Amino acid sequence: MNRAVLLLSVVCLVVSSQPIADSQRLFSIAVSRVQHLHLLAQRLFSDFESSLQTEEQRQLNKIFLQDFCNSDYIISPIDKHETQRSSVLKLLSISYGLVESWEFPSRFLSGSSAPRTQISPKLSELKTGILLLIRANQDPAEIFSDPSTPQVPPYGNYYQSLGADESLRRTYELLACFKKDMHKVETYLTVAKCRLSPEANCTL
Amino acid sequence: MLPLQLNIMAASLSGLFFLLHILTASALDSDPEQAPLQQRPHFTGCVSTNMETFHCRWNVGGFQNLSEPGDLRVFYINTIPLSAPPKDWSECPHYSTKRPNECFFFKNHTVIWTNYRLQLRSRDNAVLYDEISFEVQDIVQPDPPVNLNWTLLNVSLTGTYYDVMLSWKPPQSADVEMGWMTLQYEVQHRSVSSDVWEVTDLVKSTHRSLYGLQTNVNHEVRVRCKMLAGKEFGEFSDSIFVHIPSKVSRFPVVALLIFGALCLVAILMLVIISQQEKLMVILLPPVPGPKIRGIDPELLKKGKLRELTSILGGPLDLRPELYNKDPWVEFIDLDIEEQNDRLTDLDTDCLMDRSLSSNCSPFSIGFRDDDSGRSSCCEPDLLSDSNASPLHSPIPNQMLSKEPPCQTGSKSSSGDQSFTTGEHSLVSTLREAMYTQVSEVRSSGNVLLAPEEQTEVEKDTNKDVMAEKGKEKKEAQLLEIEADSKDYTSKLNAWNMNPELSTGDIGEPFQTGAENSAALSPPSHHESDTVPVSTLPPAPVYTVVEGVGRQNSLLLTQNLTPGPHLTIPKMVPTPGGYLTPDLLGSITP
Repeated sequence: MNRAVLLLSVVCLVVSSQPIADSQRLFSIAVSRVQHLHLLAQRLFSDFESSLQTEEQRQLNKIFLQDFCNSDYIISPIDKHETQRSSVLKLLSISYGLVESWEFPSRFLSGSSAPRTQISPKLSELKTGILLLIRANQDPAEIFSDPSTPQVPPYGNYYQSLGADESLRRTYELLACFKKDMHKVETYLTVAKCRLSPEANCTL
Repeated sequence: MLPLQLNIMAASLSGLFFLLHILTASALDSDPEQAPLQQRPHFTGCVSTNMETFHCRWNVGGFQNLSEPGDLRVFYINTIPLSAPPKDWSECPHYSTKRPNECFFFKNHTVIWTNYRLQLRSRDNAVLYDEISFEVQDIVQPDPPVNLNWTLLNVSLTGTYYDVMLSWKPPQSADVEMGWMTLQYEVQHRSVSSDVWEVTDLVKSTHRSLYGLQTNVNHEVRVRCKMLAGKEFGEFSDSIFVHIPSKVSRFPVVALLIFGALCLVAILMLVIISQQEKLMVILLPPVPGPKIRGIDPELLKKGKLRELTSILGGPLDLRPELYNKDPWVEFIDLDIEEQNDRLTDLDTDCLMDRSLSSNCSPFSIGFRDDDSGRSSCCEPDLLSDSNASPLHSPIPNQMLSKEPPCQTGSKSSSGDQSFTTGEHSLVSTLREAMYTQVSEVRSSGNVLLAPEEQTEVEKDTNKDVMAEKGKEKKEAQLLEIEADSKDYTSKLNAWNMNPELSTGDIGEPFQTGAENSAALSPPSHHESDTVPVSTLPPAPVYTVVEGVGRQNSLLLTQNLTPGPHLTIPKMVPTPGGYLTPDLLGSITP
């Protein structure tokens, strides 16, 4: 009898450890994907910035101060302490929201050699991966609502293409916001991953 | 006139000087106007090392009177999304004490992914000198990595290159364990003598290998890091020096190898050159020229056909002994066409008479040709073809070789030089075809040839010829010839006794030996028999013409020993009939 119980417990442990292993693997994949997207965003932005004149750069910089990114409606931790305090699930859901918010507007990201065609599907894949992670880390008892926020983002501004100046500014905004949001998602996912699996070489 | 010109010159010079002064003055005057623009107080940059705090620095520029702390003030405004924007500008939370002109923002004043605006104002906020805006994640420049060290991976076989593994740790300030910051590292190395740093690719890990560093050269290595997808690198770490002494001695192995190879080649060349002739013999053995007994090879060259034919036409014993010394020389058998032609008719008779007489003709006429492909005369083809003149000569040979030794025709005494009639006639006719002696020259002009008795001699001579002509087998057969050179009859008998000896028996030397040994007895045996011997003494082959007689007849000398003394080897008992080289040495006179 004792042996049977022992055996059962061992089996349960093994079975239960499987999702953890899967979760770690999923995390690694998600982190690597978002890192790639972040690098892509950074490259797009720097390419655009280098194509501008210095005077334009300064002006755009100033203009940018007044506008906000469309993903600002998503409340997210903005410093280390807050991030440390947030739960993994919260971080995951925020990441999910951010990625989802860029799924559609990423098509308007202008870039050389047609990288825009690559960003949208990558975002979709990342979104799927984050959803899987959410499902994996979600307590079955906890009923979690759909991560998508109820607020409708003001997409309208980004669809209307106005004058040349406007478009230039819009492109700059888009690229800068995209870069920032990708960095956010990367940071949240990395923190969540390192928290869940301390042995997974986070000191690299 | 001179003082006037001097005055003019002086005036012009002064004017020039004045102009220069004005220009310089204007130049000088221009500087102070531009100086304030270039030297206004301005921000030099804001840097965050850990994405938790940051600092901003400024420069007073040309306004040295503002270098006092407090003369310049920094105000910032930070816009946090989805919250009430601040109405007022906040002043720098902390003016650094360690460094002048620096504003430090603590953790509680630092927010990431938000916009910061900084302004550099004068003390009384009246003058705005500079303004910048940024987000903290864009100004991150991590501290340099720490604990840089190296380990040797391996050294090349020649000892000139080696590989090292570098390792370091992330800076303390960057919180990598938590995952707050992800860093990328860049390693640079150079040899101390060079000014150019070699840059390696970015790596995310805290170790990296360097390949192909030279031994005996001091290498300097340093590393720096930046945020993943960040813009700026942090500062370089302290350089470390890597040095591996080469263990291999300075002995030039390559030079030695080349030298050794050259020596080998030289030795080979010397050997080849010195042993050139031997090598040529080994590689390309000389083809032996044609050797015909009694004929100088020089005669075989082009243009000397007449001499050749004359020699070939003449009797054998007049030919010089050219190859006497070399018992192993193989001689070419010649078929003298002329003699064959002469014997044509006689051959047919021979063939015809063959049925009457015994098959074995006791002698062979002409030259043996062991190598010829001629078939035996016993074959019906040849019998029908009477004109096969070239075939005639070996026919009796073949016959003799194949037929068993006939005793009928061979029965003769030692002194008996006659044979059975049939054979005798054969012999005589053949003999007459080959050689004949001029016994008398008639007045009518007819030349009388020697009769039968002399055929014996002829046979004898022919036998001599056959004996002389030599292959190795003949040499063996010559052994049986008795030492008594004058006793030709016994020799002849021997030949007669054993037709196989005389003819071209191919590849049966031992048999001939046996026969020869057997022949030893028969001659003696036959010698004992008393058979009437021909009256005539053996006449020489050649006779010297002493003079022309009264009736225009040729006077021939007689009882002359043959000119060329035949060298008959002594009889030596051979083991089994074989002739060994050492025995051969004793045989040759």
